[in-house]
This record gives sequence, structure tokens and C-alpha cells, in this order.
Amino acid sequence: MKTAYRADSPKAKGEMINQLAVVLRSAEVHHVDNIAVTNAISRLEALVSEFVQLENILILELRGEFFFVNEFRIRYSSEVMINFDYLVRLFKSLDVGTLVFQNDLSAADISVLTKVLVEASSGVSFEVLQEKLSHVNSIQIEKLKHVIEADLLDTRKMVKKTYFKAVSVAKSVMSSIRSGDEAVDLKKAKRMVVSMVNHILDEEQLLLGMASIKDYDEYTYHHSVNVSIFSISLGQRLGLSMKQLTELGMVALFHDIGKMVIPTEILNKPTRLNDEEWGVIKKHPVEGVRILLKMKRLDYTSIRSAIVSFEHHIFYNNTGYPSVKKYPPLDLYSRIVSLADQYDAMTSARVYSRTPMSPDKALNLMMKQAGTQLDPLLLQFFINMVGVYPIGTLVMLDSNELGLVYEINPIFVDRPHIMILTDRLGQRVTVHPFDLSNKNEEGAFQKSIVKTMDANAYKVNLAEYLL
Amino acid sequence: MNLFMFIKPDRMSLLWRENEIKGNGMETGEEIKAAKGILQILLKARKNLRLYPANNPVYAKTLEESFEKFTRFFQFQDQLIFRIRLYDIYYMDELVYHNTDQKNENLSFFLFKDGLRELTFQKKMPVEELTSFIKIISMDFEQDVLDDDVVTLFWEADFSYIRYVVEDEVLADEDYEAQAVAGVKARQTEPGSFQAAYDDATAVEIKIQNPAIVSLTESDLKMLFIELEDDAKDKIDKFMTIIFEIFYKAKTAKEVEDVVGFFNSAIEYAVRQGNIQAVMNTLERLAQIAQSSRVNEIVKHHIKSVFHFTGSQQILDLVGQHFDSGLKPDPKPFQELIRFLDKDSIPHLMDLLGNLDSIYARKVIIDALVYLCPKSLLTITKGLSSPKWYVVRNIIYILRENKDSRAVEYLLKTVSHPDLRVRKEVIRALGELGDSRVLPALQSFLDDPDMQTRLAAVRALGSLSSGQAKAMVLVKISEKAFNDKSFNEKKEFFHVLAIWKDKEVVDFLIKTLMKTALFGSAKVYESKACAAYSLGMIGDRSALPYLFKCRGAHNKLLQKFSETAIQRIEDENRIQS
Ligand SMILES: [Fe+2]
Ligand SMILES: [Fe+2]
Repeated sequence: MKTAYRADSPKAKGEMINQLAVVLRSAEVHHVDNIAVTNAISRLEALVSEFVQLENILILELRGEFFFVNEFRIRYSSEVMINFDYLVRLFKSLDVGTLVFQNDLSAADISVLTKVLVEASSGVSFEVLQEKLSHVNSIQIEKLKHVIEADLLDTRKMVKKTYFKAVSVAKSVMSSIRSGDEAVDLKKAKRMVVSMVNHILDEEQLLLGMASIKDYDEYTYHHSVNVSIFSISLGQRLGLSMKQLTELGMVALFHDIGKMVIPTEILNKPTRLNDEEWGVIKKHPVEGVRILLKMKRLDYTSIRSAIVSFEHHIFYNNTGYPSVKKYPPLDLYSRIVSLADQYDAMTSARVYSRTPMSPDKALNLMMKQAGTQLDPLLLQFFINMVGVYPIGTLVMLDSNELGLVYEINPIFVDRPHIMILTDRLGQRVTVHPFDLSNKNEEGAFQKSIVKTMDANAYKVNLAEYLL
Repeated sequence: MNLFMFIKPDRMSLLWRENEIKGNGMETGEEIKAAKGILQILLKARKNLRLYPANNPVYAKTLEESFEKFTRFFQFQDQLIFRIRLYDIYYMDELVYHNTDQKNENLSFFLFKDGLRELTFQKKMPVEELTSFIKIISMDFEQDVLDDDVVTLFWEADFSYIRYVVEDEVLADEDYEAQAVAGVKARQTEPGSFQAAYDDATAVEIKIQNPAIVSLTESDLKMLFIELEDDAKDKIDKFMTIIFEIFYKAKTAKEVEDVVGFFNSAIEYAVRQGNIQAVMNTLERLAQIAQSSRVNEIVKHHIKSVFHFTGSQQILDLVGQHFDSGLKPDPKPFQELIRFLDKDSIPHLMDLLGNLDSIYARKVIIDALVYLCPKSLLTITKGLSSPKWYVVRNIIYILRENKDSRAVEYLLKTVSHPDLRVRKEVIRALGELGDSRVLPALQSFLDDPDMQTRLAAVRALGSLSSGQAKAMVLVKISEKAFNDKSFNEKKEFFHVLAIWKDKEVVDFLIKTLMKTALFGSAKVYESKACAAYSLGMIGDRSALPYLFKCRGAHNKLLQKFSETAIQRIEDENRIQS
């Protein structure tokens, strides 16, 4: 089959990975010589050969959770998600990091590769696989590289910087609105959002981790940035383009802009709000529209921002506020932001409800609202994103140790990376990381979560461990 | 310095290794020259793209030329890296650009101030990528671009072959991080926390929870796909819905006033997007609200101001551009929308007639003016003094379509318009709208040196269909010189004459038909044939004997026309009986 686009276009690159997954998945069901498999192989062979002819070499590498083809990161679009997920799991379980295709690749070579990969049980060592493929000249495999700690530390620093810069930009933009400033620096805000999108594409978990620390004084600004991060992250899973992600990030950042006209006495009131005060708070979606529309000449982003500001509390089933009659379905961005907003608000120590909910409890509550207050389909994507045990969840392991979730494993959502906090007797230990997807020699998981607890209830300061 | 690279370079060595071995075919001097050349062409492209519109050949040519320069460079090197400083741009260690102006015209300053520090172009960069790169650096960031800088635009362009290093330092104050972190870390975890959590967790018998792992199915993805497709549609309708919601909720006069402003800017935006239908729907809904008895006068007044804004020059100019785009958009929504406009919009629409290029767009505007004409005939007639002949002709057409005889006195003023095309249109209009006032003018045109004008005049007399008009035509045909006119012109005069169908005309025609051609002149036979033709059109049976006679004439033309006329009369009578 002839492809309509150039063999080295981003689409063609994604297509090769997808096709590799198709080959392997069909070989799991059928014999390698089955027509379904051989057809898939010959298509893969055609795609790869065409590519190699143009680029001399095809290096397909798994880095973290993403595939790179000759250094270009391949986007995770929704159509190929299932196949990509499959491939990531397979590579990880076999400890394979890179496939290099070169020279005269034949269908027979791919057939050998397929057989080797599909027949390997997960316990087999990488060296055995390499040995089995050593006679195939056109294909080399390389071992999965684990990110070096020092690099990670550097990246962590950078992500942290980005996060706080974002909050400070949000603060300066929003407070200039509060003070009635004419010149609002949107260029700066957008630049910040681009920077966040960029980090989310590369180090999603680190930025999600930043968004999980909730104890800051400036709730509104942190909340705005957190909602932006959760929204971008969700948008990425839905397969939105760079441009859309940036737009979504901007829109999310300004979702509560209407709060800037609410008197600070009410916004920051430490005690419970009375009905009248609640009435004032409930005006912020409409006030947001007013602010956004007066800010500058209308463009696509300001229209989308206005829509999200207006809709983010209406709820999927129209039971929220402002009350609307005969209203069309909520905008996609509104439903995304609404999820991000509720999650962040519930897990934060807001001024008007001092006790934050633990992340897993919040998720549980959100799941109960699927189809009523929240869009059920998007919620599924959201749960896959924050994990069954979101970052910041305090967990008890079957080893009786206490741990704190600090990073989600997108492939095994119930097996996050944790920090071990205590030994099996509950004694504090030097904090050290552990990957719950690690297995022992028999192929069983070394440690598993048996119980979750509310870190806030025990006054565990997440910032100590996540920052 | 806090740099972030958009693509990590670590594995590039593997890809470029081969090229190192190959070596490069270019001497360093030559290479620097080529890099300088590329920089020059980028500067030139920036200038030209700002100067010329996209449909100008220079525009396309410049882009083509730029791509060629890159292609040539890539014959020797696999990538081109420019390092950017405030006033300088370097290729390798060589200065290739220097300019100390602190203006956006200065390329190094322009790139540097937004944080760009390095630009890399890679071999196999497709022309589309270079084109969008050049378009971005050519934008006017002070005027047209509101919330983007060069970095955010590069980012959204999502390049594959152009890479760049950016410094984000410019963005915000450093202090916030330190302060926020200190604040949040101050709340230390209490010493007994873990023990308490541990005790609680182990107090009850541990049950393994069943975490709700959600796996997505193919049908979920299909649903998502539909969502995304749906999301690609424009957001104007939803946006308008929201403005209406806010309108309903508005309580103070100030709030209503604000909402009017929102409607106006939404209308402007919708027209810019070419979504006239959304504007139409909005106006319709507003009109309904205005009709409601529960709405007070102030609100009605505000609604009226939205209609007025829609008919303003600002909006109508955009409407004009929309229809002038060459894409021939459906005129229907605009046609429906016109009924909400008042007479104040007429002058703006007439201005458009003079400014629009395409016939298609002008036709849409003409139709709109035909609709609006009854709201102020006088305003429309002002267009008759336009210096552009085609505008005058269009205005005459509009008046003619409007069928208001009050227009005659204005039309009479344009009968001597220097442009023939205008005169023809005005003659026609006078015929359709006129009365005895227009006769002298039409009569004088019967002797116009231009045949088309004469024909227009006689047709106009026909459409007047008065006795005086008939007399004028008869006089003209009776003149001796009439015989010498071309056959076609004569035929047209006789054609017009058939309108009257009375005894006088029939008698006149029979007389002409039976005229003896003294010298058997061909010209006389032409007139006789025309008379036969006219009799046929009138369909009077009393002419048949004469026509039978002429059928036997030896003049071929007369034979043929008589025969046709007989056929016609008999057919007509058969149908009637
Ligand atoms: Fe809100
Ligand atoms: Fe919010």
C-alpha cells in the first residue's frame, strides 16, 4: 500500500510503531506463518524500508513512556493508544529499549524478530534475546536505559522552577486584573503555558507531582496553575495537538479569573461562608466572562476561555451554577477543566474548607459522580492519568511498610513509584524510592499496596518529600 | 542560565556519525558565505512578506528563493546552526550578522529578546516548514500579535526539522519560588505522624482492596474521536448562547451596556470568521426579545444599537471582504440578515459597490440594496452621482428593480451620462418606471448614433406601452431613412411595435407589408419581412390574406417571414379555439 504522506513525516513514523504493534499482537494470537501475521509483516517491511531508504537508519527507542524515531518523539494519539500501550509494556517486560533497522531489511528478518519477541517469556534476560537475534544483520536490539539519577535531579530542578514561575506569572497577571490594570501581559502567560506543555510532554510525572502539593498560601494562583497542568496532561492523553494543548492550558489557567472581582474578605474568609457570601462566589463564572471579553479584541482563545469560565461549574448534567435552561452540551474544554478543577479543589486546603481530601478519596468521590456531575468518558482518561493511587497518596504495603506515592506508572496504573517512609515496624527510615512494578525472580511483584490512608489526616507534609 | 532545549541532542551523534565520516564537500570559507547568504535571504524574505500580500508573485518568489538557498546549503552540510546574541548572529564561530538597533527590524534583537539563543535547520526540512518559519518571523508583533511571541508561535507550528534553544529566564521573578517553598516546608510533618498512621493501618485486619483499574475500550476511543471532531467546529454559537445567558441575568444598566458590547464584538468576530449565519441567528433572537412585552424601552434601545452596529461600516466592510474572497460563500444568511438593517447602512453598502472586486460580491450587495431601497429611496439615488460608472449602473438597476416611479426624476438626470453602459441601463429603467415625463428623452435616443442605445430606447418605449410611445415608434418607422437601417435594428423596432396589438398598428403593418417596392430594393423587402414578423407576433387573423399573398413573393426573405407568421397565427388560433 502506498502512503499518501512522506515516509519520514511524523505521521509515517507513528505508523511504523503502530504497525510493529499490529505485527506482534497478531503473532500472539496466530502462528508467525499465518497469513494475518505475514500480511502485517510485509506492510511493516514496506514502511520501514521506505523510511530507511530516505534516512539510512531507523532507530526506534523507548525513553520513559515514549517512543522516539530517529530522535523525534512520537505523539500519543488516541487512535494508536492501545497499540502503543501494548508495545511499551512489552518492551519494558523484556528490558528492550531500542530497535535499530538498517541495510537490507527483509520480511524474513522481521519474522525472526517477531518470533523472538513474542515467544520470550517475561523472565528471559535481555542477553538471551540479543543472542537469538545475532544472526539477523539488519536488526539490532539494545537494552532499555534507565534514566540516570543525576539527570533526573537536574530535570526535577528545572520542572520545579517552571512550576513556580508559572504560579508567579499567574499571580502577576491575575492581580493586575484585580487592580484594574489595562495592560495585562498575556504574552508572558502564554509563554509560561508553552513551557508547561513542553515539560508535560517530556516529564509529565514531575509536573503532576508539583501540582500535588497543596499547602501553599496563595491558593488561587496555585490552583490556577494546577488546573492548567491537569488539563494539559489530560488533553495530551486525548491526542490534542501542540496548539490545542497550549490553548487548553491558557483557558484552564484563566478559568477562575472571575474571582478577581470578588472581595478578598469573602475569597479568603477563614470560616464557613454564609448563603449571601456563597451567592457572591457563585458569580465568578459570569464575572470571568466579563473580564475576558473586556481584556482585548476577541480571538479564538478568548472565546474558548470565556466559554470555560462560564461553564466550569455548570456540571455535566446541568445541576451546578450559573443555572441555565435548555443549554447545549458543555464544551470539551469545559468538561476537561471541570475535572481538573474539582480534583484540585477537593485535594487542596482551600480557605473555606480547611481539610483537604486525600487524592484517592477524591477520585473515589469523582467516580461516583461519573455521568452525573462529570463526563464519564473523560473521567476514565483522568483516572488513567492520575493513577488509581495518585501522587501524594499515603499507602500501606503488604510488607507492612508505609510509603508515599510520588510518580505514576502510566502502564501499570495500580503500581506507582513510591517513597518508602517507614520500616515494617512503623519506624521512620531514610526515605528511599521504590518501583512497585518491580518483580522478583519468580516473576511475582515484590511489593503491593494493601491500603491507602489520608496523608493530611496524619499531618504528613507532602512538600517535604515531593519538592 | 536556565536553558531548555526543545529536543534533546544526546542521540544525535549516532545519526550524524555517518556524515562525519563522509566529510563535507565544502570549504569552510564557502560554507560561511553560504550561511551568510541564507541570513541575507531571510532578511529579504522578512521585508517582502511584510510588503506584499500573499497573492503577490513577489511573495511566492521570495519563499521559493529562500528554500533554494537552504537546499543548496544542505548539499554540503546536514544542518545549519545559528547562535543568537543580542546584536549578533554567529555561524560556527563566525559573525554573520551584526546590528545594534533595539528594534524588531533587527533580526538578532528580535529573536534574542524573546529568549531564542540557537536555531538549527536540518537537512530534509520540507518547504512548508520553512514557509511557516518565515511567516512567523515576518509578523508584526507590536500590531497584530496580541498574546504570542516568536517562541510560542514556533512552538505551535510544531516543527520537525527546525529546532531551537530557548532561555526562559526572562519570564518571572525568582523570589517567588524560594518564598513559596519555604512557606510550605515550614509545616513540618509532626514526629508521631507515621507511627499513628502505621498503628491505624495495622489495627484493623488488612484487606486487599480492589483498585478500580479502568481500561479503555475501542468504543471509548471511537467516542473520543467523535468528541474531538465535534470540538473542531467553531465556537461562535455556544459563545452567543452564553452572551444571551448573561443578557438575561443582567440587572443594572451598566451590565446591559456591557452585554451590548459583547454582542457587538461577537458579531464582529463571527463576520471575520465568515459565519454570517451566527450573526443572523443572533439578530433574530434579539428581535424576538425586543418584541416581548416584558422588555422595557431601555433594553429595546440597546437591542436596536446592536442592529445598528451590524449595519455599520466596520461590519459591512468585513461582510464585503467575506463575499469578495473568491470562495463564493452562500449569500443566503446575509440575505436573511438584511431585514434587520436600517437605512443608515445604505451608504456603507453603496461604498462597497465601488470597492469590491468580484462581480459575485457586488451582486450580493446589490441584492441587499434592492431590499433596503424602499427604506430610503433618496439615499439610494445619491449613488447616481458616483464617479464610478459601474456603481451608477448598479444603482440604476437597484432603482429599476425597486419599481418606484419616484426614481424617475433622479434617473432623468443621468440620461446624458458619458458612459454608454450607464445610458443603456437608464433608458431601460426609464421605460420600466416612467410616464410621459420620460418621452422626450427616449425620443431623442431613437436618433442616437449608437445602435444599442437606439434599441434600448425603442424597447423602453415598448415597456411604457402608452399611446404616445406608440406614436413615436410609428413615426420613426415611417421615416424614409428607416428603410436604410440594418435588418436587425428594423426587426427590433417591429418587434416592439407588436406590443400594442391594436387596429392602428395592424393597419400600419399591413400597409407596410403590401407596399410596392419601386425598384425592387432589398431594403424595402426587409421592412416588409419585418412587418410580416410583427403581424405574426400580434396574431390577428385579419392579416392572413395579406400574408398568404406575400408567401408567394419571389423575395426569399419575405416568403420565409410570411410563412412563419402564418404558422404562428394559425397555431395561436388553434390553441385558443
Ligand atoms: Fe471556579
Ligand atoms: Fe477553580
